[in-house]
Amino acid sequence: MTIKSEPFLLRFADAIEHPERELVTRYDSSRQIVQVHEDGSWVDAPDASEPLGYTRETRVNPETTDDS
Amino acid sequence: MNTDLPVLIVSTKVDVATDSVARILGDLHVPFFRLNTEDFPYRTSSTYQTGQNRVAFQGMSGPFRSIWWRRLRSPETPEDMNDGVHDYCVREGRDFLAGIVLASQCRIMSRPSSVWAAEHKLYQLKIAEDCGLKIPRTVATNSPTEIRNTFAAFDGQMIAKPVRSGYVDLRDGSQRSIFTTKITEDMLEDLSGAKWTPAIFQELIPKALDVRITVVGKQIFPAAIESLTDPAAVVDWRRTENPDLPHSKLELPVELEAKIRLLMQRLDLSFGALDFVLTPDDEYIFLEVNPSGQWLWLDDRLDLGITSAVATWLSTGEEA
Repeated sequence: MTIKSEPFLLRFADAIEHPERELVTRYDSSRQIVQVHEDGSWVDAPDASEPLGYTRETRVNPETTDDS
Repeated sequence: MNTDLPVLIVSTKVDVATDSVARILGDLHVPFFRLNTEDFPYRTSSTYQTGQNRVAFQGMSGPFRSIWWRRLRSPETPEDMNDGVHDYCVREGRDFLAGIVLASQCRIMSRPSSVWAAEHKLYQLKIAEDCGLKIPRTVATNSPTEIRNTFAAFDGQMIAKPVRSGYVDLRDGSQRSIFTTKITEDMLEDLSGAKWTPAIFQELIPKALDVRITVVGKQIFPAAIESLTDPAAVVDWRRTENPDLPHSKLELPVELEAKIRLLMQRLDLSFGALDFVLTPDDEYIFLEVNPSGQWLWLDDRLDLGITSAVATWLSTGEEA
C-alpha cells in the first residue's frame, strides 16, 4: 500500500493483535465448544484465563457480523 | 414453540460468546447445531428443499425452533483455487445461508436482511432520530472541502468514524481497526486520502460516562463505562488496552428504555449492543447500535446475565 492511496481514517487505525493465535485450541465437536489448552489440560474457551478475540476485555473488535 | 426442534447457530469458532451460549444450551439439554461459517461451504455440506422448507446440515436437520445469526467468517482460499472463484464461492455460500434463514418460519436473532440494514450507521442514526433519541450532528462525506467546513461548523470539536465497519484486512496477514478518532487541525492539512472512502464526521459530545446498552428481546441491560478515567478510552473506550477500566450497573430513564425498544422494533432486531454517551447535563446521546455486538466482558464485570438471556431467548422464546 502506498501512502497516496491510504484512506484518511486508516492513517489513525490500530493494528489488531491476535493473542488467540498463540493459544493452542481444539474444537469439541460433540459439545460444539472451542477449548483452550492451559496448564496441561483442556478448558472451555469461556473459562480460559487468556482472552480470545478480546471479547473478555473492553477492546471488543470486530463487532460487525461479517468479515468482508 | 416446539421444544423438540434444534436451535441453529450461525457463527464462527473464534467467537467466545458463541461458546458461552452453546455451553448453556448443552447444560439445558437443548439440541442445537453450531455452523462455523469458516467451514462453510468447503468442509460442511448442507441441503435445502422447498415444500417442506427443510434444511439439513451434517449431523442436524431443520426445521429449527430458533436461529441465531451471529457471525460470518470466510474460509481460507484453497491452494488450487483462483481468488476470484473463491470470492464467488464464499458469496454464494453466504447467500445460501441467508436464504434458508430468511425462509425459516422460526424466531430469528436477527433476520439477516435486518442485520445487514442495521449495520449501516447512517441508517441507524435516521431511525434513532425518528424514534426520539438524541443524536450528534453528523456529516458523512469524502470531500476534503466538506470535512474542513464541518470541522469549522463544529468549532473544532469533531470526531470521525467509518460508515459501517472499522475492520480492515490488509491481506498481508495483518488487520487494522479504525476506532472513533478525535480530529485535530493538523490532521486536516493533508486530506488527499479522504476521497478513497466516505466517513462519518460528528460533533464531539461532552461526556460524563459512556453507556453500553445490550438488548435481548425486550430485556435491556445497561452498563456505565467510566471512560474519562483512562486517557486512551476518552474518545473511544474500545481503544484502551486497560482491562480494569471501571464499569458499573446503571438504571435508565423509563422513557429512554421505551425509545430504545422502539428503535429495536423499527430496525427489526432482537439483539443489539448500543452505545450512548451520558453528558454532564444528564442527556443520553445515541451513537450507534451493533446488531451482533459483544457483551461477554459485561457479564464478567457486572454479572448482568446477558449470556443466559440470549440462551433463554433461543431455547424457549421467553424472556429470561
